[in-house]
Amino acid sequence: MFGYWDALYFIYVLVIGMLIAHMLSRWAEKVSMGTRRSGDGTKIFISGEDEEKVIPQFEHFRGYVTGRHTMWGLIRGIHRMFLIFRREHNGLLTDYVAYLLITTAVVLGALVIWG
Amino acid sequence: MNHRSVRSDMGLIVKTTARATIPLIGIFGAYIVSHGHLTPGGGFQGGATIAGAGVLFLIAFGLEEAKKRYDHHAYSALESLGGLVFLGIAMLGLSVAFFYNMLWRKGIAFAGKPGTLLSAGYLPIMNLAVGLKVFAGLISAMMAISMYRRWKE
Amino acid sequence: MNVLPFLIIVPLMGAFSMPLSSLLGEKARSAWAVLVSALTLAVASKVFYDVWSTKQLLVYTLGDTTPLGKGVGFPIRILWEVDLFGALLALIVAFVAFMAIIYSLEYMKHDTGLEKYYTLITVLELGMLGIVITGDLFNFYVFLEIMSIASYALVAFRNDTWEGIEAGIKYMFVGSLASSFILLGIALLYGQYGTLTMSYLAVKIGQNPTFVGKAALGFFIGGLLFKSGAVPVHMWLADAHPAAPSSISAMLSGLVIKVGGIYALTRIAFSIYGTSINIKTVGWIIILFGCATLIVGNAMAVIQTDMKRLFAFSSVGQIGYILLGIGIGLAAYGTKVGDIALAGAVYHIVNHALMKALLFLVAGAVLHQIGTKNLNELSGLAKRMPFTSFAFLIGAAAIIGLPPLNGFASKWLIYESSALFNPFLAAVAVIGTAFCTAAYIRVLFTFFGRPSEVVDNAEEPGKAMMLPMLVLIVAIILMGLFPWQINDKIMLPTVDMLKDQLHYVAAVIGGA
Repeated sequence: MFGYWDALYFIYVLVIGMLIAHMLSRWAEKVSMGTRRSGDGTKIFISGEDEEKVIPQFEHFRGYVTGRHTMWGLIRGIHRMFLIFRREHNGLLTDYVAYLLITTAVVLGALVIWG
Repeated sequence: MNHRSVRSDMGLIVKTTARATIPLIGIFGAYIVSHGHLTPGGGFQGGATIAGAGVLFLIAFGLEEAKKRYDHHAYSALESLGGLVFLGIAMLGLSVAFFYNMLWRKGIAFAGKPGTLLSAGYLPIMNLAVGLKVFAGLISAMMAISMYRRWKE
Repeated sequence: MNVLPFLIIVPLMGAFSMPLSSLLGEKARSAWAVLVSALTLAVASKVFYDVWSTKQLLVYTLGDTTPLGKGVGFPIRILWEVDLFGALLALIVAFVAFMAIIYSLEYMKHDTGLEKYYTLITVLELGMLGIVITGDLFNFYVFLEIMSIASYALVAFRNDTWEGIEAGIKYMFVGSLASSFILLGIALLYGQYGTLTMSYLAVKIGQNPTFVGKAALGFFIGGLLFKSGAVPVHMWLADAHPAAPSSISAMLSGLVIKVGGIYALTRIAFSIYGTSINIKTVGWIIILFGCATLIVGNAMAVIQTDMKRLFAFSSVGQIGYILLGIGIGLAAYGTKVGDIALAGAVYHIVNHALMKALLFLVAGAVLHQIGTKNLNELSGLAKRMPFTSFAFLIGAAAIIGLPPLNGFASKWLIYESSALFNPFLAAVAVIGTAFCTAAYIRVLFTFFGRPSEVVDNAEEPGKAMMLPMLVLIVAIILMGLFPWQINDKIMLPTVDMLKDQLHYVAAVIGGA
């Protein structure tokens, strides 16, 4: 049996998590709306840093390595997911029936093919 | 709303026919219940037939008349009684197994000649209990539906 | 003397005589309801102790001394067959139902039609007890319908609001369709193999696993996933559980979805089909639905503003963990990992029944005392209702899986086995828990935040509502103190008996 401190799976989870994080950052780079909104002469840093600031010796780095694109991309993505959940959950009886039929059909199909 | 919608009973012809047929329907239902072990049918079917007589009464004579003759507590008690009698008879066989006495066996009480009315041990009594429960339950359900309806005429 | 039939007789008699007892007055009816459920609990404890101490299956034939027909070698009678899994669930069902009935003495005091309420709640308990002890497929279906119809009616019990009626009607329509799928599965099996006894069916399917048998399993899984509230078909749950009175929600969320869905699924997959078909496929189907359930259920819980709806979605999420455990138990059948996963799933069924019952009782107390379950209005409840808030704190911490409480051990077993089975599943499980934590911390902040004017005059509920919560808190803490002992003494033997299909069959056919 396993004990309290047998936490081997955290290593697995860490590896998986890093892979997911890398994929996320690649994706977030595209989705991100940036960390900075500038209007008439103003410059507001939402994530608390200047995007245009160039760090000496690290000129080749672009802004997203600091993770702010990931942050905004995640926030927007999760927000959108919840919006979809909310919209889809309209509670029509026919929807419920349709989901039940689809579920059963999927299970049946899987069992017939691989069962 | 015209005058007719207030009156919930039907005309003279229907009432007279209903007066004649309600006892017959009741007797036929009682026959189905009591012969449940010999002929097709049984407690549920017979009870539903007897309840049909009640429904005919409700439709022909109207809700007002039916309300006078319907006592909620009495029917509720009758229904409970039906269930309890069924359960009690099933428990009588508990010394061997639950429901042991439901089927015909040698040496059972009321084990008459096969094919006659008194021939199936405890089964007819169970049928009577089921008939009572179904009859009381269906009548109560019909009364509830007609009394508590929410739509307008 | 064999006490098993009394597990059905006592609640059945209680249900039938409830209208009679209510003729004697309100006090007599309440006393009768409590007495009946206490007796049921006693019988269930006895059954559990018998099965647990002997580690033997309990077989009981209705109407005769032996399940076998005269002069033939196969069972022809309806029989009840209880293994440790069934006995454990019977115990939990009786316990939570007892708590719910005590709770409703005060909670339902202002409602009308209470004799129907107590009759239905006893019938609901009866149906669940029947499901866990039966060894006959059609008998199983009858009890499933008893349970389902009682819960349809109870969901719509508060018929003065549109919410209850709408949820009840939806639940009834789609639930009947799911039930008819299960019936179709039973009919297919009966047509193909000519028997309804689960153990004999196991033999027949093992000899000749046909296409029809597989199709029947598909219908079973579809219908039972609906009954357990897995994700594509979880919508009824989110409508029905918040709409019911809270004592009923505690039973629906804590017991009905597990007994009517998970238990039946497990029994059919392990005891009837077992290894006769490709068990890996069945396992993976359940795992995939479990993962979807896990993520969506917990994520949906985060955005709810209605407290009971949040708890209902959290139930969906927890069902996902249980399905994940059972799926791994099937896919890794016969290995150590599968055993651990299955033990975790069984353990989580028990734990979640206690936790979710407690949480719904807390929600009921808040609703009863303040009259709203909208989280936006309930800020700062902890100052006025400290006991209720403490009960919520314990329940929430347990459901998230904080170490000193009971939820930790079962979730840990599920994480552990899923990490060993497939690391991706472990990642999914951890993400689900993250959402779950977020959801409950939101409610916690609401309870402990700045008091709003709605809660200014709130008071603690009365004794009859506090007592069940207290008992459940004590049970959660006690179970949390001895997690591995419980696991070794109860859950692992349960898993051993559950997997032992040969013994399940032999107890009926060979034992006569």
